[in-house]
Amino acid sequence: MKKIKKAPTPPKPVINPLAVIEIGSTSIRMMVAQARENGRLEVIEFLDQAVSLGRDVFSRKNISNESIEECVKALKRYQRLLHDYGIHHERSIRAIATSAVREAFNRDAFIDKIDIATGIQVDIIDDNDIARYMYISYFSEKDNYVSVSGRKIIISEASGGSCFIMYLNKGNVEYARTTSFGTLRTFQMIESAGTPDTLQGRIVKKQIQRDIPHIVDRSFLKEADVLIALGGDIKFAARRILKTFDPDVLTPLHVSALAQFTETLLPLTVDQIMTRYNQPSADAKSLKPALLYYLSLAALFKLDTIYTAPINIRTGAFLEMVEGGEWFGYLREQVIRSASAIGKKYNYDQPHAQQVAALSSTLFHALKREYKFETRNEILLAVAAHLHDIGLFINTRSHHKHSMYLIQNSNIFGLTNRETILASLIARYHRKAGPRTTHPEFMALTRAERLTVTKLASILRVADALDRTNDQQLKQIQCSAANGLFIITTNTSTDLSLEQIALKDKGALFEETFGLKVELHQKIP
Amino acid sequence: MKESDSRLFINRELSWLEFNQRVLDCAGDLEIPALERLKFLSITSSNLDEFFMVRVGSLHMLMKEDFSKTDASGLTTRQQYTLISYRVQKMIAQQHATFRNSILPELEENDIRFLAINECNDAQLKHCEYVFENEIFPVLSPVSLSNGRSFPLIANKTLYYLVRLKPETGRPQKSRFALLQIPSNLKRFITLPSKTGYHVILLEDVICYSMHAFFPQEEVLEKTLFRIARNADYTLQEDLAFDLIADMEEIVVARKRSDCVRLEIADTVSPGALNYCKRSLGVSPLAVYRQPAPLDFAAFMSLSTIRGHSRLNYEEWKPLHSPLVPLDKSVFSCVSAQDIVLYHPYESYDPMVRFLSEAADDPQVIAIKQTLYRTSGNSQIVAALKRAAENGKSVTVLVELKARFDEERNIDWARQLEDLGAQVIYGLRKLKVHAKICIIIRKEAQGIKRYMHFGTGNYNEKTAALYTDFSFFTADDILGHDASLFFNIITGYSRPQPYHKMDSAPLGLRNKFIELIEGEIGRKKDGEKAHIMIKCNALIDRKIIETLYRASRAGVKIDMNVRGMCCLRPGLRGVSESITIKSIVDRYLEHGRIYYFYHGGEEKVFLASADMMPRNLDRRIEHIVPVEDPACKKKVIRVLKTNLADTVNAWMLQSDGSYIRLKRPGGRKGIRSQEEIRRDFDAAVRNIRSSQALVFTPYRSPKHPV
Repeated sequence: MKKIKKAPTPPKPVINPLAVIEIGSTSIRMMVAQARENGRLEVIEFLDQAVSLGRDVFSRKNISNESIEECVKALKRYQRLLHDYGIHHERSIRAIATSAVREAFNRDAFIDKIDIATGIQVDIIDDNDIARYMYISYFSEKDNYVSVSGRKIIISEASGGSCFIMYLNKGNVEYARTTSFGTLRTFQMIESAGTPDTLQGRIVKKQIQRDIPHIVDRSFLKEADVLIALGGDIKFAARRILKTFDPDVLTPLHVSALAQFTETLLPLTVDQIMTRYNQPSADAKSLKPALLYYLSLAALFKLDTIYTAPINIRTGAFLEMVEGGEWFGYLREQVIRSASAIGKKYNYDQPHAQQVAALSSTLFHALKREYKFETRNEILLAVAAHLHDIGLFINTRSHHKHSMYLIQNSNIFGLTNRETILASLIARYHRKAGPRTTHPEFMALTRAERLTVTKLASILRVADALDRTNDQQLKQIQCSAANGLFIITTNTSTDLSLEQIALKDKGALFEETFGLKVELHQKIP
Repeated sequence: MKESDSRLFINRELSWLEFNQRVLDCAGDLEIPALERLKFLSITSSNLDEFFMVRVGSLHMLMKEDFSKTDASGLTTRQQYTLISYRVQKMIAQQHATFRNSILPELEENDIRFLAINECNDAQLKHCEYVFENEIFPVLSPVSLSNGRSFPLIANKTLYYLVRLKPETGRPQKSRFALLQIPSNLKRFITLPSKTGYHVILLEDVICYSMHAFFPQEEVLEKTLFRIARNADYTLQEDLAFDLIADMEEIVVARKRSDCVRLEIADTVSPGALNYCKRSLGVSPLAVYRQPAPLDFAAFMSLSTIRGHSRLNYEEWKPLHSPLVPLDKSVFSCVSAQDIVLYHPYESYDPMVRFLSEAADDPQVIAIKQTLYRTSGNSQIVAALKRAAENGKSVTVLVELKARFDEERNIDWARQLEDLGAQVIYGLRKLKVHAKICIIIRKEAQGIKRYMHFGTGNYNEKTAALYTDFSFFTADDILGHDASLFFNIITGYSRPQPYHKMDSAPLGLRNKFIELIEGEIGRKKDGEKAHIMIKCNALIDRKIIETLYRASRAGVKIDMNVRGMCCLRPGLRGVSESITIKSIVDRYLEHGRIYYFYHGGEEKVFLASADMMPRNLDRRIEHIVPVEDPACKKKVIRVLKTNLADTVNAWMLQSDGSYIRLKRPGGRKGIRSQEEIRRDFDAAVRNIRSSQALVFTPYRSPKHPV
């Protein structure tokens, strides 16, 4: 919870209270909060109900009827509380589900049942959503992290069904990923192997040491100065290790103290942890794997301190709701940085990529009002512009197809999986054949998505043509549309013959899409 | 000696009896007005009734089960039972001596007389006969116990006459008995016509005088008044000796029948009648309390407020209206401006009632959540909640009833609330909700804002006029979050999570206390100043007592004001030298709980619903809340320190478990804390009022409002 000190005249709220419901593998949590004028949020209520989704899905791949009922019951209670605050409208409630529901074979039936019983529409979020929400949550409280902000930070959370890891360098996201390592999953695997209770702690330790190389991609995560561990397990440990612990601020925890505390837990059975610490079963099961994971991470980067911080996906989801789902300026910047990092990995021509991105942006804005482009489309175009040529890393032949493949299989921070696919297709159509009904990836999109890809690919082609010589000659362009022409004017005096030729070839799709013939005019000063 | 050594603990039952003794001492204190002394006497009697029904009842049951474990003080159940019996015998003797020698003479001096039948004049006698014939005789019916017939079920806490009749001719050895129940719905005191003052006669004396009317043509040889106390209904009680045995509940389930645990009988009883009575009721000699008439002083409470004798009562202390919550201002605006602490009954309870009443009608209020423990249906608080529900507000009430609800008539109001759309929760399984928290959620221009009331006493206007308790009003966001969390946990909406500022039992309260005490120990060891001050009603919890011993050994100064039971032995060399424990018994029942820790100069002050008893910490939902606002903190500390300084109505606990009443310093008037607090508050109210600038507020025409 964010501490709001009592002031004689409190700031005006931006909006009415909103609710974020997070359906996780071991619990359903609901946060009711209101935004303050200073951009901070004030948590009014935070509720937490234990559920057994992870137990069901990680062993049987399906959510049982009992668990569905359990979730419905919890959500109905939450609804009663929402009623207290007059929160009824679906736009005021964001319900998200993570790994357990995502992996369940019967996830659609689960979501339908929740909708029928409660009217709450649950969205299954993907790895990229998690990364985005985490970053928003981090950034919204950046003043909290001044002491570490200039350094190389790893932010990680080992939750029941997945493990999130994000790498920030000087405040910028260089890497963000969610892996399938999960604390509850690990525990269930060891338990199902029939390991005696007393040995489980040691086995978990070995298992995590084995898992760490798969969780941490050392090609990105070479070194780190700061490790921020998130989630209930590390906070539980901090409460017991530190004399005073405020979960709402960045709090350092000595690795040696955490290791000592974890050692005392290792011989304990789940029942013993439940009794001794008054913990519910799922939390007692996840405690040891989570703490051992954080310790392994600290050891890997030779860190003697682990920090805890109030970063979570609920805050990110809430703030995104407040902003109406539009990209925050700082988040847009991070997406581009992430795309650039991928470009670097594949030795891309950075000046060319940047030039194409800049030209794309100008063209986009020239057409935005007329063709009612959504703000989010700009970021897709920018990512595609930065990465359109990375397929050259594989082969010069059909490199646009390699670009599509590489983008689809990269984690671009801030984009959802769906948006990553759109960006990959925009890049794919920067050259050669335009979108066709024979292209399965294209046809797998919805009609609206197909239209978006076509429009943005048309722009990208023109932008790419304008830097045909790869020497970034067109520093400034002006665009105007009239009488079936889309005229791009530049005041450069250099020879643009190659660009003109390229435009003839690559402007066809643009003309087909927008009904405007593209012409490049040189205005000699 | 280890802190856990049984020699370091006072038996809780004997400690409770010492508390009752202090109340009895007040009944005999000639500086207290006579009718107030009668009230104190009556309280000792009703206290004993409950003590027998609950505590002695469970010991009795354990003895029957041959339970052999000892309590914290090392006493077996039988030893405790025996010691209780001896102590109570002595106490009963003192009750009667106090009544006879101290209270009656002063009442008589003031023309209030309890007449025996032979003291009545003709008119009075005639009145007695009239009342008997018209009001008593028609509702009484004797039960013959002849031919070896056993006792019918004897009602709890009800007066009976055991009547011995002359044996039948031809069977001189065979005693004949009959029983006559005196229904408790009849008035115990019959006011007699008198020109010289207020004269009353006891109901049982009138019945005794006319006993022959029930047994015509029989010779009545003996008429003995008796009264019993039974084991409480265990399914409804939480204060059983569960602390003695974990599997007590199984015994309780197995034994449904309530045994007779005490027989009070007139000391005029013949050996034969007594034996017959004991045999029929199945009571052991230790459970028999022979005593002179009258029995059951608890009934004398109604006489303590008779009109026209105000000089025999305490002078009236009207509750002060706190200038922090003026009548012409909304409670919300006052609480929004600053945290407010009120100390009842010195300060009026009205702001709490207004708090809810305003909420019920305030269109900005969207939800009210409240705990209600021992609240009657006709209270203004319940009326406000009903109105709020009617007005469409979301009302959540956690009701803790005195008894199982299907047996309780006043459950109706809770049902009505439910019918109006409120969410009513009828307690929690295995836990009593004793916390006193109310949250009012308002949708204001600045967003959602929560207003809280945390009390140390029940939401009951009647007891708020008799018990000293705190009301803490705040709109602090973090406490709002904690209070919401509290309701979410107890209503099952959320599993427990750590609180930010407050804490609650049974989840973390004991640990919170221990952590705070440990904090003082740590600082003392580091050479810093350390001080603990506590005001509560009982100190029984073993772990907390052990921690306090360790604190004393570390040199932490500990001053406590424990009104009732206390199992800690203060002043033991090398163990508890730095601990002093004082108990105050005065016109108001000391009830508020304050926990103070010096905390390196930060001075942490908490108000709580809980005492330091296992039942509070393990079997109840309780709360503890910090008071952080400097003015509020100062006020609470002031009350605490004044209490600790009392030298008039204060008793000091000795290391042997006895209490010594503090002597007033030679010739000088001592400090009577309740009087001192009253004077303090009165002066504070005057000061604030006089410092407020005089503003004339003319009534203007609506046409020219300015």
